[in-house]
Amino acid sequence: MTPLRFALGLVRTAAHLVPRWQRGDWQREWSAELHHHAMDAPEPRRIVQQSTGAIADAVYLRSQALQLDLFVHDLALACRNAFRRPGFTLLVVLTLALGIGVNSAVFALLDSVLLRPLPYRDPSRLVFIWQTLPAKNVMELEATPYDLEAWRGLRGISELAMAKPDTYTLTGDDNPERVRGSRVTASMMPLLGIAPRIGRAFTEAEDLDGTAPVAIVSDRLWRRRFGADADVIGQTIQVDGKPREIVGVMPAGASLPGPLAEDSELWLPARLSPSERTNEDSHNYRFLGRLAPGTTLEQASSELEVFAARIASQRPSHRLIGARLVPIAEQTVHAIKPALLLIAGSVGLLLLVASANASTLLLARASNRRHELAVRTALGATRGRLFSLAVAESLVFASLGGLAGLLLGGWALRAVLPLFAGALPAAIAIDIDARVAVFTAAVSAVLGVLFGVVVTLHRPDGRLIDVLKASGRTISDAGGRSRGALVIAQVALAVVLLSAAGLMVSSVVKLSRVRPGFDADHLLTFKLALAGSTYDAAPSRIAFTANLLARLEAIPGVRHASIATMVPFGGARGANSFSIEGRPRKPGELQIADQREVSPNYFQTMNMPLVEGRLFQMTDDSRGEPVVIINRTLAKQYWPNGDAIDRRVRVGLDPNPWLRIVGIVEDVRHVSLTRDAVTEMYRPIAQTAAPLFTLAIRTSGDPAALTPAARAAVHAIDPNLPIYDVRTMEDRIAGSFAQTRGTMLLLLVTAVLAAALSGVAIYGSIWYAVSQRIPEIGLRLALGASRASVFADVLRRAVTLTGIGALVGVAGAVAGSRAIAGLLFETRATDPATLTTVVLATLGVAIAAGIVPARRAMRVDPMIALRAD
Amino acid sequence: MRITLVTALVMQAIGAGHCHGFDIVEVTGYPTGTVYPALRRLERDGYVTSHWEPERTATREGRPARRYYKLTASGVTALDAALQLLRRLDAASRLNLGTV
Repeated sequence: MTPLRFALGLVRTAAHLVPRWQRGDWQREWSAELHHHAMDAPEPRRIVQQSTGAIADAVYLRSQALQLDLFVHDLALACRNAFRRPGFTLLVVLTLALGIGVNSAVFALLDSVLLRPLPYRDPSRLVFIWQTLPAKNVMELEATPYDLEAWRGLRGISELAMAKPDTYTLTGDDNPERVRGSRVTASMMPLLGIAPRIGRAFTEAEDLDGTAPVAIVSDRLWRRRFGADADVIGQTIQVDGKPREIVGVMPAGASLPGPLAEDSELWLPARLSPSERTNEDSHNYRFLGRLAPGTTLEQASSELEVFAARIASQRPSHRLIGARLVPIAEQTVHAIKPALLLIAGSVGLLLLVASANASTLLLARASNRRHELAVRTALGATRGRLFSLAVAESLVFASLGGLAGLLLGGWALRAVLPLFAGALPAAIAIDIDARVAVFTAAVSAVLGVLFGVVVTLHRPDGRLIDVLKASGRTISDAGGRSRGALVIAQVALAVVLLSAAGLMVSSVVKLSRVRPGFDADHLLTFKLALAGSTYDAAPSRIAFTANLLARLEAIPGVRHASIATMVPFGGARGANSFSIEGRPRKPGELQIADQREVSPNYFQTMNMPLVEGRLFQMTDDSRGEPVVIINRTLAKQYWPNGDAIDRRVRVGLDPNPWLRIVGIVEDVRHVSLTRDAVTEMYRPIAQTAAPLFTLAIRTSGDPAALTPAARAAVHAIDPNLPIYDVRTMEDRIAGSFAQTRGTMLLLLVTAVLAAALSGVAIYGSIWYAVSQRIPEIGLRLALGASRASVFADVLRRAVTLTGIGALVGVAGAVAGSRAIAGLLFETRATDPATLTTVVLATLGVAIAAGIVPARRAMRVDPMIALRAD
Repeated sequence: MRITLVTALVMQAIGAGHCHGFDIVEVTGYPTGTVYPALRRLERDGYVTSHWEPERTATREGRPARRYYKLTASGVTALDAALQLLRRLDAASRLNLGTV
C-alpha cells in the first residue's frame, strides 16, 4: 500500500465522524491536498503524518455539531413542553407580548423621530437662523429680507436660504381650496438636498421679481388636482386668482424641515420686489443655513452673535435684536422630545413589570418540575446542560412573545400616532419596519436568556433521594422569596407608572378647567381669504364681509356671526410694536401688543365682557375716527391708574394713524391655556379691511352641524372662495393640549396594564403560597383557629407585599419626579394627593387579588388536608 | 471569537497569499491537526471564506481542485488588531530588556 493510499484511507475513515452535511466537501478538500502534496513532495512519512490531522479536524467538526445538535434538541423539547401546556404558555406569551409590543411601537416612534437622521443632505450641518428679542424673552423671531443679504457675509454659514410660509387659494376648477405653501429662495432645495421629481427647481433669477410667475406642486397636490398627469409641466394653476406655470412636481413626502413643514403643498419662487428686498421691519421670513465645512455650531453661533450685535448698533430697525442658531433636528423634535422620552421610560417600566410577571410564572413552573430536574441531574445532566435547557425553554416563550408583540406593536402604533399627529415632524415616516423587527428580536432574545438565568439560579438544589422522598408540600420552597421579591418589584414599578399617570391626569383636568376668557362652547370657526382681483379694493372687501355676516346671521340656529383676523387658538399671534401719544419710548423699551381686527359684534359672539368704555359700533368704519379697544393686561401695564380710555396709540411707525382707545375688554388666553394673556389690541375690521380672517359663529345647537350652511352662505356670494380650517372652538382648545392629553392617555394605559399585571402577580403568588400551606392551615383549623383569622392572615400577606412595593414605588416616583415636572400644569411632581390615591388604589388591587386565595384558605377542610399529607 | 496565536498566524498566512490548507501548514509550521480546526473556527465566525479552485486549472495540472481560503473584511480588521497587539508586546519586552 502506497503512503498516499494509506493517507486517503485514513481520511475516508475519519470522514465518518464529520457531520453528513459537511462530509462531501471535507473529504474532497483533504483528498485534493494529499494528492497535491504527494506530487510536490513525495516523502512517504510526511504524507502519512499530514493525513493524521484529518482525525483532529473531523473530531472538531463533530464536537461543534454535537453542541449545536444538543441545543436544537433542547429547543425541540422546549417547544413540545410549551405546547403540552397551552394555557400556561398562552399566559406567559401574552404577558410578554404586552410588554414587548408596546415597547416595539414606542421604539418605532423614537427611532423615526429621535434616532434617524432627517431626510436631507447631511442634516447634522443644517441650522435654523432665528432672530431674538432678549428683552422680551422672545427666542424665535422671524427675520427680514434685509437679513438675507446681511447674513450672506457670515463665514460660518456656507449656504443660506429663506422661506416665507403662507396659505394660498387655488381656483380654476369646481373645487376651490386653500393650501399651505412657501415662497422660497432658489438656494433652498440644494441646501436641503431635495429636488423636484418631475421638471426643474427654481433658478436664482427667480429670487427677484420680473421673472415669469411659476410654481412647483407637491406630490399630493399633483395627484389630487392633476390626476398624477405626467405632462403637468407647462400647465397653469390659479394661485390667489393669478395664473402660474407649473415647472416641477416634488417627490412624495418632500417637505421643508421643522416649523416650516406644515403640510406644504405649494412651492413658489421668492420673487422679491425691490422694496421687499430692502425691508428691515417685516419679520415674516424664516432662514435655514448650512454650517461651513470645518465650522462647529459654537463657532458659527459666536460669529452670528457678534454680527447681530454689530448690526444692532448700526441699524435702528435691529436695535434690540440678537440672533441664534438652532440645529434642525433640535428644532424639529424639541417640542415632543420630553414627552417621547417619558413615554419610552414608562413603557420600559411596563416591560420590566411584564418580565417580572413572566419570571414569577416560570419560577412557579420550575418549582413544580423539581422531580424531573432531580432525575435529570441524577442521570448525569451538568449545570451547563440544565442551563441550556432552561434557556431553550425561555427562548421559546420569549420568541413567541416577541412575535405576538410585533403584531400588537403594529396595532399599538396605529393607535398612538393620531395622539401626537400635530407634534410629529411631517417629513418622517413612522412604521413597523426591519429596524423595529430587529429591536423586537433583540429584546426577546435578551429576555429569553435572562429568564433562563433566573430559572437556573433559583432551581432547588438537593439530592435526588431527598427530592423524591419529600412530598410536594413539605420540601422547602426555594423560589418563594424570589417570587415575593418579584411581586414587590412589580408593585413598585406599577406605583411609579400610576403616579406619573395620575399627575398627568391631574394636569389635564386642571387644563380643561382653565377659563380661556370667553365661552368656547357652541362656537364654530373657519378661515376665509379674499384672494384675487375682485377683492383688490378695500370697499369690495368691506362689502363682502357685511354681506356674509348678514347671510350667516340669517341661518336658523345662528345666534351671532362675527369676524376676527385672529381668533384664540387659531394658530397665530400677530404682534406689533406701538407707541403712546405724548409718552416717548425710553431707549431700549419695547412696547408690543398682539393685533386683532374684528367686526363690531365679535365681543358679544365670543362672550368677552367689557371692562370699561364701549364696544365697537357700526359707525366705527372708514369714515369714522380710527379707534381701538385694548385688553385688561395692556391697560394695567401702561395705564395702571385706570386712565386708558380716550388716550391715543399708534401701531407701527409714523404714517400710521393715531388710534383712540374707546374700550377695555377682559383678557383671553390666545395661544395656549397654560400661558397667561398677553397685551392685545382690537381694531374695527371696517377700518382696516383685512383680506384674511376667521369667522366665529355662535350657535344655539351643535356648531359643527352648521358647517354646510356656512359654506353655502360663502359660496352664494362667491363660489371661488374656499373655506378652510373649519373647527369648533372646543376642538381648537382641545388641540392646543393634544400632546399633553396624548402623553396622559399613553401613561394611563401603560400604568393600568402594569397595575393589572401586578394584580395578577399578587393573586398568583398568594394562591401559590396558600397551595403550599394547605396542611398547615388544616392543622391550625383543627387546633381551633377561626376561619376569619385564616382569611385575615392570607389577606395580610397580600397587603404586606403590596405595602412594601407601594412604599418603594412612592420613593421611586419622588426620585424620578424631575423627569415629568416639565410636562405638568399647576400640579407638583410630588403631589401628595395623587401619591396617596395611587397607594390606596394599589392596596385596593391587592385586597381584590388576595380575596379569592384567602377564601380558598378559609374553606380548607382540616380532615381532607391532614389526610392528604 | 478569541483570537489565539494560532488563529492570528493562520490569518497572517492567508493574508500573505498562502491560501490553501497544506500551504498554510507549511508556512506556519503547525501540524494539520492544529491548522484545520483553526480554519474551521475562522470560517464559522466569518473571518475567512472559502471557495473551490476552478476545475479547469486543476485538471490542467492533473490533480483534484483544492479549496482556497481568503480573509473577509472582519478578518482583516481582526488580524490588524492582533498584529498591533503583538507589536506592542514586542516593544514592551524590548523596553524591559533594555532596563535590566
